[in-house]
Amino acid sequence: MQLFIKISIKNLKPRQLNLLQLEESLTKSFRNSFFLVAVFLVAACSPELQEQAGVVERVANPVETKFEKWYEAEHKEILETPFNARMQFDPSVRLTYRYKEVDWSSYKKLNLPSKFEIYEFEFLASNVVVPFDFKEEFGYDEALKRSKQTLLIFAQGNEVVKSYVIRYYFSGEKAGIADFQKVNYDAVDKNWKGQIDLYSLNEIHLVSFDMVIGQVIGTETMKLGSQDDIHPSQSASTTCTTIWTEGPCEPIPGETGVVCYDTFTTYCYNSSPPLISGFPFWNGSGGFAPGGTGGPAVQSICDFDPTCIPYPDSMDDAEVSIQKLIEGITDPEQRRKAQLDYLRNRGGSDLVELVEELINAGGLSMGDIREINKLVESVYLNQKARFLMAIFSPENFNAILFLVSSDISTTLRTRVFTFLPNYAIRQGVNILIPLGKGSTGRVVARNIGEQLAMKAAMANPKDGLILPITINDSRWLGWTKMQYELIGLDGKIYIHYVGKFENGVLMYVDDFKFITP
Amino acid sequence: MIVKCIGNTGQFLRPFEYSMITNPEVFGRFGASAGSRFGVQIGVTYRVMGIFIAQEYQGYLVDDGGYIQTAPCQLFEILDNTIPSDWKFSVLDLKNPHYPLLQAVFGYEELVSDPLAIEKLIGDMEETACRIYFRKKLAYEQEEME
Repeated sequence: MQLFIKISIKNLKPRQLNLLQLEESLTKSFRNSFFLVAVFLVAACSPELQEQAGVVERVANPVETKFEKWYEAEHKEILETPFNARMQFDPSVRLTYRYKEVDWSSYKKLNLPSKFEIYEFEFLASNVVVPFDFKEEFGYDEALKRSKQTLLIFAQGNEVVKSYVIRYYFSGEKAGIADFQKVNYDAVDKNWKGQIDLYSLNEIHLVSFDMVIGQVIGTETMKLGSQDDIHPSQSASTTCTTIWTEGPCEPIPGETGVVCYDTFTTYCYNSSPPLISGFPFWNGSGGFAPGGTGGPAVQSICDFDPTCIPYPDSMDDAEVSIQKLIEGITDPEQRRKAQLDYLRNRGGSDLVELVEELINAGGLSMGDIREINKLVESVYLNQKARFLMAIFSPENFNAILFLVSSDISTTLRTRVFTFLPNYAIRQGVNILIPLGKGSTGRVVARNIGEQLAMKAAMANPKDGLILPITINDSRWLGWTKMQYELIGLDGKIYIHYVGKFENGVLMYVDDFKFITP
Repeated sequence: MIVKCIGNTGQFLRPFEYSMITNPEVFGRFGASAGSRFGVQIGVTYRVMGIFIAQEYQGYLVDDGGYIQTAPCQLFEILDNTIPSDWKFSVLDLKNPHYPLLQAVFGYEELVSDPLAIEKLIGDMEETACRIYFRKKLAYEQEEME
């Protein structure tokens, strides 16, 4: 029987075929790394690792003294109580425990959403654990340079509430290795790619975060349970929920198109009492139990649930404050500006630039401005509500296309068609943008159903049909007449448009219109 | 002529392609990608109001939900193959703007005599052309009932 169930929680939406390759290459090295992990002890600190101490905040602070005793006690207990329940795990999913000396004078106080104070300490001796595949991929020496481990402590006053060993494995460009060493759990660079593993202090692997462009695209939790029915009391109480999160998108280097990192995340926890379920419980001095020596009975599930671990670089309180501030602005123009600033500072500068271009060229009606404000609001809400920022997602792009079928002036519509393609090309957004050569029919939607149909057609023109009729308009000579159908609550809605093909693939679109006058 | 729809997607038509298309985004000879959806519904019976020969396939002229559609014959099975006695046939000449996409039309008088009839019905949804279509359809239905 396998005591742990490794819950794979990374899946992709079918549309992300492009991602598969990248995902595969990313996870090939890591997916089973836990089971293949090898412990490599470094006899002495390498110069690179010794430099780690310099990258974190050095503050002469009594913080170190209050944690030092706790850490030594934990170490003693782990060593002295081999039959402690927290050691009763399948050895294949637990690393060999080794003492890791902490540099108590070098730490960073993290800004993560938690009621606790969170500190990240460097380890003095590296004792780096390098997954076998990671070593295979980069070679031992480079793998070491690409690895880093720290101690994360959640504290309330002088009490340690919980703690983790964090292991960072950087698999990005070689040039980024130096910067990688500066990574902290609350500050993951946007170029960061790799895996962040969290272990309990006694080396039980709790969770892994797969990171791309500094954002979590997948997590894997290592959870206790039973894959068979030998211990029904363990599996019966395991509860899982799955959440799909649309992830960030980025252009595919050297190619057209965009790759998106959508994520299915499954959170599971075992609601059995920890002792029965076999969750790692901490009954030592301090430990997981607030207040000191509390045994398993007083532990809250959350204390043992890896989902209670904040994501790397997750949103802090300041972020929430900014959002509240923005949402408190009632003046539409001020609100739009604040929302644009918000987006600009979070990687959405191209989108902001586009919106500003649309507005600054002047000549817009009040209705146009109102629709632009709606667009900005929509993108802002889309972005701020999620942990993963997907500023360049097709979803946001569709929001701009939505604008086109709104009741806007021809001036604004033409302007959108003029500016949008540049924006799309720059971002590698894999959506065909109408060229805006002109319009031969009604483009303004009469109702929400029509607006949705237009949005769907513009977003998915490749799902339309070629009609067996020729276009004689000189603006689209050699183009093909096409039709897109959407079945709504009020019946069918047809959108006609024109398309230009290359080798059977639709390459350009234009003149989207409703076929009913 | 009555037909029953048995498929309505480009994917359904893939086996009828002359050569295998692996890229779902590629539009095949029926003018459809794998993701394309035709405006007909599976299981529904349709009265065929015309048969046309396009550049690379043959299709029916039918209507669904008040919208006149062209759809490849392969999307249907024939339930009644009786052709109305007044149908005519016409081959589009080189001067016709829709040649070679459209090559020949078989159907009621107005459909065949007007070289732009198909465009008016499915492209422009021109009121007069549509009215003639539905009037004709009604007449065929009444004829059949009698």
